[in-house]
Amino acid sequence: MGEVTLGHYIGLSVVLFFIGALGVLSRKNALIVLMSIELMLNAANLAFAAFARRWGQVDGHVVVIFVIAIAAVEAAIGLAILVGIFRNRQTVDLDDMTALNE
Amino acid sequence: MPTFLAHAGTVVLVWILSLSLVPVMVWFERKGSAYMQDRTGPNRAAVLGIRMGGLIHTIADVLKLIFKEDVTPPQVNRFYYTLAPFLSMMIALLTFIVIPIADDLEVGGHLLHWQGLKIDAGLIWIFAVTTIGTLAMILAGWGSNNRYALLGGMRSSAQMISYELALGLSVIGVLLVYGTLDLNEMVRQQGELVGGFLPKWGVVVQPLAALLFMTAAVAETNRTPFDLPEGESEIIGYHVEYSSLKFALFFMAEYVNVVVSAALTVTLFFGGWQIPWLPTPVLEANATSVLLVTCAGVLLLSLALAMASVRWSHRLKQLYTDARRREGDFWTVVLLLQAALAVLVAIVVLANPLEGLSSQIFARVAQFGAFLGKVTFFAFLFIWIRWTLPRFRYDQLMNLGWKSLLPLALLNIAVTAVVLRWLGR
Amino acid sequence: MDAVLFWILAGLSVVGGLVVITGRNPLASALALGLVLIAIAGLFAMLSAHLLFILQLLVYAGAIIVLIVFVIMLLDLDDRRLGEMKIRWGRFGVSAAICLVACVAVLRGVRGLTGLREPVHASFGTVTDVSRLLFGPYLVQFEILGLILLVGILGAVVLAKRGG
Repeated sequence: MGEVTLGHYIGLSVVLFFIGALGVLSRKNALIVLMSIELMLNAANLAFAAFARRWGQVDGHVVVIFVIAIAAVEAAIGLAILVGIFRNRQTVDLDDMTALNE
Repeated sequence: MPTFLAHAGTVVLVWILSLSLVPVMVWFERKGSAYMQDRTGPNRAAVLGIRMGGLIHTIADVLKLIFKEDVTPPQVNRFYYTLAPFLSMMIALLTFIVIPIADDLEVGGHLLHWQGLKIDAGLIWIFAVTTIGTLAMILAGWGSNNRYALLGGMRSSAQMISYELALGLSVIGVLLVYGTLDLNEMVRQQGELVGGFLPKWGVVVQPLAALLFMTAAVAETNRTPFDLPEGESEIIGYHVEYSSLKFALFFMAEYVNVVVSAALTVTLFFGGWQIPWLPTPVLEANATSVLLVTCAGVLLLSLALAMASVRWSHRLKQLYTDARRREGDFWTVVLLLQAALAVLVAIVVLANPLEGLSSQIFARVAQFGAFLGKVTFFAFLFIWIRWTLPRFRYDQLMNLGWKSLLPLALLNIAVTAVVLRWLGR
Repeated sequence: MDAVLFWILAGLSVVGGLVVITGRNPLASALALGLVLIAIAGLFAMLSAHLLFILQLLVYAGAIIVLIVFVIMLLDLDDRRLGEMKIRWGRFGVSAAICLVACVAVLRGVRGLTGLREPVHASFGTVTDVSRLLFGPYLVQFEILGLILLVGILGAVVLAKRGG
């Protein structure tokens, strides 16, 4: 197994980020797309925390706290919008949300 | 390694403690409520005629719950349905591990912490874990695939989220006063004195916060007067589809939550493991005399109880012809043995007074005893509240949470901050 | 010990992440996301980021997951609707190929990063340590963050109230 280095953490962060990106690109269910975005934000958080540990500076942690707070707001607003859309159009399918397209 | 063992040992200890307090809580609930409502309560279950005032009845309860048929209704979503009770129990147990049960002890260059998870943000840990607890209720309601269960789950999560705010904001005043999130550090500061005679307990310096916290804590444990989530007596709650061991897990989790709330109330507002007016150094220096006084107290109490028991035994023998007539004798013997043990300990201690490590260990044990006593009292208080107050209506519940507790908690923070500034800290 | 723990947590988070994006039922995705977030909280603890560990549990695993689960139950999508939105393997495959190429490309760059085992001072990542920065150099940003949260709350309330 060997020693865990910074590369391991950043590698994991990259993998998680692309898993999230894949979800955003390929899914039609808006709820799952929102969750994939959370996944991507978390991958970034992990990278911040790993680099903070590498350089012995807590500034990275501060950034992560900001990201967590913003993610909470994003989830709240995003889900509120979803509920609103569902009330009007009975769907959460992203491909059906084309009102501005027509 | 000794440090790790102390942590692990504490975790095991608090888990055993919280689980073994469950039967005692059930006993409080049954016998206590019976006493408050002027009835007898359970008095039949017995082992060899020993009823222990109804405590044996809890064993019968547990056996009943375990051996009942475990009915899984066909419409449920099996995975979520099974996950929920286990999650609920796990969360209840996880909360307890940050609570300190005695002062730190330095042995052979190792500083041992009597706290399962030594973390500098211990207070936030509790909120973090209890928030996840909401999930268990939603899952139980949703996984049951039953309208009433779902509504019960929704009600409970809405209530828990609402009162978590009041709970979280009420402790901020305490935080400001002690200037730390570390629960052990908080308890240590509560050993100081205010104005020379009052212990600096949270309830003394933050009375409003203590009241708000305890109100919100009762609501968090979903008990009357806030038991709308379950409403076991008439409205139906999230665990309506559960039976046997799965129901028992919810049931036990509720009592573990009560114990945890009591432990948290004690830790934040009632001095935790501190024995009032006896801070750790004083306690260590006077270990021998404290132990002797304790022995004397136990001796007197056992003798008095033994006398009462002899009288009671007389009456029992007139009343019963079966094994129960011997219960009085049993208690007399046990109490006399206890008295003899107290005398024995006193003699041993008089011969070799406690000093050095043994006095330090005695101090920790005494502190743990104080903590245990306080926790038991507050756990009883929660049951007392349950059997005293009627249930709120749902709108009253929400109004109380959002329009009374929350503004009061904010006011408390503002006033505390201003006063602390004025005092120049 | 550290390596074993890292690989367990990493495995959990990757598998959980895959479940999140491939799940048919959003509830399964939400619970898998909860698992990922808890695993990442564990990784934060291993990186001696104590405050982040707790905040991750409190905000993400607690609040956000509960919110998502709440909304999933509120929408209560039936089987037909979920079937319409289930994964399209063609689209998924193309996206996966693109992501895989990008991922491998980035991972090649990451390989050279080493040296995590720098000694860290004892208070690294504790509440005191982070707060000193948060209420010092980052005070303005912190206050703006508070404002954003307030706006977010108001926005969510307004959005949820209209329509009804």
